[in-house]
Amino acid sequence: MIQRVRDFFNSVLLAELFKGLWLTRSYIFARKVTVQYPEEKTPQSPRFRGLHALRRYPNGE
Amino acid sequence: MDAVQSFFGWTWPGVWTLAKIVAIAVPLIISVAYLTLAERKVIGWIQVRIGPNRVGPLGLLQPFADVFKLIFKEIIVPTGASRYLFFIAPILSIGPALAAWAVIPFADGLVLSDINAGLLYVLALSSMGVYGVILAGWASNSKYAFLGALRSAAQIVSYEIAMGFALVGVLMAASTLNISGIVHGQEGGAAYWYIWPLLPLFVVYLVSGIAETNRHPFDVAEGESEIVAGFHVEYSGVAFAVFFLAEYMNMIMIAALTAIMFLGGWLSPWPQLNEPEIFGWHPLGDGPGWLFAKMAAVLFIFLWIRVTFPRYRYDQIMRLGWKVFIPVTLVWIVFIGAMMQTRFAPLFH
Repeated sequence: MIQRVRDFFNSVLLAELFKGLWLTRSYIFARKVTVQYPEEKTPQSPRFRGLHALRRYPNGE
Repeated sequence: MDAVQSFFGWTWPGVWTLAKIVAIAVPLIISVAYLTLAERKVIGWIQVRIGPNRVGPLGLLQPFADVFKLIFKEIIVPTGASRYLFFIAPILSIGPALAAWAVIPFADGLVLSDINAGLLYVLALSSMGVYGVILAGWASNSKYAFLGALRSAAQIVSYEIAMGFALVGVLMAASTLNISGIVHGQEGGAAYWYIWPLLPLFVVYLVSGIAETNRHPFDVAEGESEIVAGFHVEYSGVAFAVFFLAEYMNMIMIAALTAIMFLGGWLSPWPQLNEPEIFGWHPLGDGPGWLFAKMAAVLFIFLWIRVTFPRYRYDQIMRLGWKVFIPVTLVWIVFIGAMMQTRFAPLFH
């Protein structure tokens, strides 16, 4: 019963929607991950041969 | 001024009205351009990206680059399309979007035409917009466009009712159809704005406004992943740009109406802000600045909602419109009406 009342108020007050909005808001001022390609490049291993693979270390190896 | 007036002679009233129309339409088109940039920037930031930043400083010339690209593209008329209807559809959707601005007051007395049935006029024109969408879908001779048009028609018709009822609440509170009159009814500071007595209607109006303009998360009319781009799949170049312009103008229109009817329009949130004076001018007092600030806040909420929520399923949209919004607005209208007969009436005016 209590659970049903709680569910009713959650849906009428749009609780879940506000939670979602709050989550996206927290990313607005987060540090951006964009790499500005021609000026910035990700590190590349000297052995790089163009193979598509997940590199294990941040230096490109 | 007199010299200019005598130069135009008897054509002066027409010239003057034309000048006022240009003074509204040109800034409106420029703000549409920057709304598209703002949309891409905000979505970028929320997705931990930067957004457009290559054309001009901070990407500020991006909208113009987009416009020139669209102007130079060819308009293709699909085989079997009805040429006449195909070209009249974008015009039918932008006409009402522009014309509705005639009755929006930007400040006290600063309005193109201060008609008594202003709100009725806005409602009538905003329902005209759907004909552009339906004709576009029908004239294109494409299955996707047709599906998009049908979805859009069903959606706009259902949400128009909830929207109309939300406006009935505002009419009851303001007891006038004149839009400037509605703003004057909210004088006295933020506590007197209609958002407080009409809070459920405000939420209903905002959400139906998003649905009316076919924006996310109610964009089943476009639904890229299911029906490519809905009613405007077959449009390219300038014809597409006109649809785009109409959609964004409608969005700004909904923001302006929300600001005027629920957030006090051009009034400042604190009447004390009218007092500071610089050279006989009140920088923080009532004026267009407050209206634009409120519109920007509402538009930001639209973008924020767009980037946060996934698209609703078609049946969920219909259920929300018919089984949630219409009952909520009806109950609240009866509630306001009943309260106006009690001693709490001043709270609802």
